[in-house]
Amino acid sequence: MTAQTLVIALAVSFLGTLVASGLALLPFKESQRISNVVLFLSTVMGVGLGAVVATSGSLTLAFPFDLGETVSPFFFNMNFMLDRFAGIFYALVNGVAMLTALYAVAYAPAVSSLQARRVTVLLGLLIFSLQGILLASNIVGFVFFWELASLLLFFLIMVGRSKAARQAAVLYLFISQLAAAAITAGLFVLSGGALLSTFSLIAYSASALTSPILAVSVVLLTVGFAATAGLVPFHVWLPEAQVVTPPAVGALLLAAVPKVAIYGFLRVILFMIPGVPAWLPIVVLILGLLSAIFGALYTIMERDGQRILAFSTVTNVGLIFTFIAVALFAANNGNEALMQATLFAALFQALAHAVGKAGLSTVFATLAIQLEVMNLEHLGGLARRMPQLSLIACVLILALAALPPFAPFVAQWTFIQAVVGGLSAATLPLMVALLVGLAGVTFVGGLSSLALVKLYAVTFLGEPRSEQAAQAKEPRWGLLLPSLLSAAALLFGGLLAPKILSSLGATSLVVTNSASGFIRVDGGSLLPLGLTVVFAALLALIFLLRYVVSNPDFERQAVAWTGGQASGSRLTFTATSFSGPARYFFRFLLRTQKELVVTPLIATNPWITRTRFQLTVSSVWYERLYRPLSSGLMWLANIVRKVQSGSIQVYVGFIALALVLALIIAL
Amino acid sequence: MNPLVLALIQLTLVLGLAPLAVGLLTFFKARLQGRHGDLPWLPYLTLAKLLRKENLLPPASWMFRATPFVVLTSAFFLALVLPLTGFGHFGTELSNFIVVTAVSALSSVFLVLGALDVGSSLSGVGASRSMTVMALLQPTIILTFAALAVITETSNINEMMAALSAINPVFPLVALPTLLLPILSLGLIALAENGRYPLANASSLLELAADQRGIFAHYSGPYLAMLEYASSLKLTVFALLIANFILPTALLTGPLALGSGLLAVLGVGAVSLAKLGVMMLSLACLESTISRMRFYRLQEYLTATFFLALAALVLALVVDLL
Repeated sequence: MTAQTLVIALAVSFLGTLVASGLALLPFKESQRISNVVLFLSTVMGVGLGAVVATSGSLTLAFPFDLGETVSPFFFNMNFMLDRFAGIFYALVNGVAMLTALYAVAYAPAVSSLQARRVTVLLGLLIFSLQGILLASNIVGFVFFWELASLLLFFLIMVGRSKAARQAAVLYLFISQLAAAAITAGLFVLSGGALLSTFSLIAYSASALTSPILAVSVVLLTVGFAATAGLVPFHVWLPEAQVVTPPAVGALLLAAVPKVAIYGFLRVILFMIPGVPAWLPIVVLILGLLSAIFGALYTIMERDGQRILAFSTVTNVGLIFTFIAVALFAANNGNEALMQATLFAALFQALAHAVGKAGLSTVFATLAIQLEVMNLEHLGGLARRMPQLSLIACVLILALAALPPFAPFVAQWTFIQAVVGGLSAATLPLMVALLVGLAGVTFVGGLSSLALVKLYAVTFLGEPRSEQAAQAKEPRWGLLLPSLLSAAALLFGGLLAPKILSSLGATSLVVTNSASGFIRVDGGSLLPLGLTVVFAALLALIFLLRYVVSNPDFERQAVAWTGGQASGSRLTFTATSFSGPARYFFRFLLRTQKELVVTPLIATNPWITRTRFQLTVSSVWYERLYRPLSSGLMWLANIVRKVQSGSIQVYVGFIALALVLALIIAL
Repeated sequence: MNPLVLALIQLTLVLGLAPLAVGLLTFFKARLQGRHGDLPWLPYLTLAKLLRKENLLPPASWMFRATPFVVLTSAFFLALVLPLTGFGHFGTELSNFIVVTAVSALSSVFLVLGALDVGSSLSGVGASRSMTVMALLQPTIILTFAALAVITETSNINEMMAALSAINPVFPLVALPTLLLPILSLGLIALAENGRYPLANASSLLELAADQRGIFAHYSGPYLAMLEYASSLKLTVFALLIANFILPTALLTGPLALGSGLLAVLGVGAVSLAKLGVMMLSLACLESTISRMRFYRLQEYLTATFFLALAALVLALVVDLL
């Protein structure tokens, strides 16, 4: 493919999403479906182009044309380009968008309501603006698309119009605008105030900055990107928003938006600032581990399916930031190999998590549409009624829990192996960082597998705990297709990980002398394909033995033994009971309050009672951070209000005072 | 010898000895507690009996049926790739410690899913408890093996064993005293992974002690045989692995190998049996002298093991620096 065709194809895929969004506005019956199909096609193209650019030898591909001048004065001199690094994320965002669009094609709401039309329009625009962030190569373009994406997401959260939706939208608006302001300010400080500076120019100008000014800019940018990525303590908007967004949008919110923030952070840290300040890895490590640990604990505690998915994203973003922090430590200590390995682990984890989370979001969107319940306590027993969906969901859960041979396992393997291999050669500060990172990541790995197993088991296994769950039916195959694609991508992403990593440029990690190749990191190697083949061969052997040694037809249905009680949904383990041990072990962090009220029905008989049990998990972040912050702001607003007394004399007095002050300063 | 032949010998030996290990354990325990006890080869007869019995299926989904196969396959995988009767045979490229830990975690996850598939609170208690313990044990396992990796400068468990036997084929602990802490930690991990005292009572089906065994409550016939066999395999694999870390001697490979040929295979079988006997006797002594911990006190055990593993790793790094 020549560069010229590549550029044209890129323009088609980029503008295709805009066209798709416009098509949904047309006033005929099938316009939404056509819009979604166009969206799907242009994002499929985007995935391919992102992959081509990410794996191509040439480092950058710049648009030869100026969108601006002819189209609108707003686009004046806005440069677009896609380099290898942005190509990875371009493929990621388009991949998630593709799954979302595919899901939206299959999920055609019965009534083409105004709200559904709005969602389709906003969805296309959101994908367009996310692509724009990745294509932008100067401050104006980046900030413009960033702000556009924030506002579109605000409207998408708002679209449900319930009280919860409004609250979530306002919370999101508050945090996203602060983040956008911080990012804009940080970029301007970095560029020395030049508005149209391209990123490569900023890299020059930033090297002239003094270290305090550089520190201010890096702090602003880190806070801005961390807040958008959903890191603790800025994570509060993510679960609230996920609960109220329309079914098809959840995948984009959880899988694509945080990854774009990770892209922005890495773009600044790796390509723009002259060197990583010594304190930055420590800050990123603390933010990352805090998010990963609290995210995992809240994932274990939570009972609402959508909120569990959101907190699991918080956990994963925290893990990725931890990987990045270790890479930065390694870079600052001159350990190039360790930095490469952990950075590629972070990128691979971002890709794998995005694909897996998008698939899992569509699974839960299907459940939300069909059953209209998202509280896990009212689900259960779905595996018997939806065997195909439950099988796909099982693969996705195993993959996201970083179990072999799926792609997230390869990412975490690369990180752990690189850290363990790098330990003995490390300097003392690096060694401490590696130990903290290793202990933290493995601790979170265990907790997050516990949380995901809970999510799957309580939703799909056991007896149904509500009428809706008992009447669940296998969904249409169109609704299954996106999650099936994502499960397949995770499987092949794991099996072919050496190939993928080497084509992304991690040639130092991959040995490709054998047929499939393997990943080799400091004293350890991983053969995903070999591992799977041996496992499959042993599984086949056991199947064979089962049929040879015992009679497979000698079986019958029986009732479950439940210790003499009537079996049924009352005895099935719920989310609350499953997480009981973990809740007890981490009670000092979670601050759960348990209340048990037992009232005897008959005064003389202590055994026949009415029992009321209540469990509340309070959010430490709301109580300790956001509530004091909001009451502090209210207090400040009240003080300021005293100035607005409403009497004209006071205002005239203010003007006079201002004049006097101006004169004093001027003279 | 051919690496594939070596692998098949190891698989056959371990698969054959596994029920005997459990039999020896119950036999020793009974004798220590003043009972006559069953004969050590009773587990073979139990397995044969279970395989002939009817498979009773409670109302459940496909997960219930998939679990025994995945769990037994994971156990076979561990028995194949780990250095139990020798090292460097076919499949040992797969014995990276993170891979081994993950395959073992895969089996624990499927056990939990299979148990929760039946809507019963007995298996639910077992599932939630064992999943919590497994989750909190993850960092300890990784840190312990990381300590071994730092000492032996490789992350492949087979190469670790080869490195140890190259340093001192008789008793590497003498040459490398830092090995003591990781091996101790590995022992504590083995107790937790296999549901032994003080974490759980593996020979009881009572609800209060049902941490690990409650999971099997709804399985019967061939499926129960598969799960029982998998758990005895896991016990055998851990016992032989720890024994080999202490004494990497008299294996099919290594400086003090028994040579090749049928006699050598028989010799290695006898040595493995002796190692298993000693390990089971010490486990029986341990289980007869301590009592089971209350489940809600297990965080003390888990925290202590975590810090032991961390201390092992730090000590290994400090010695490495000196």
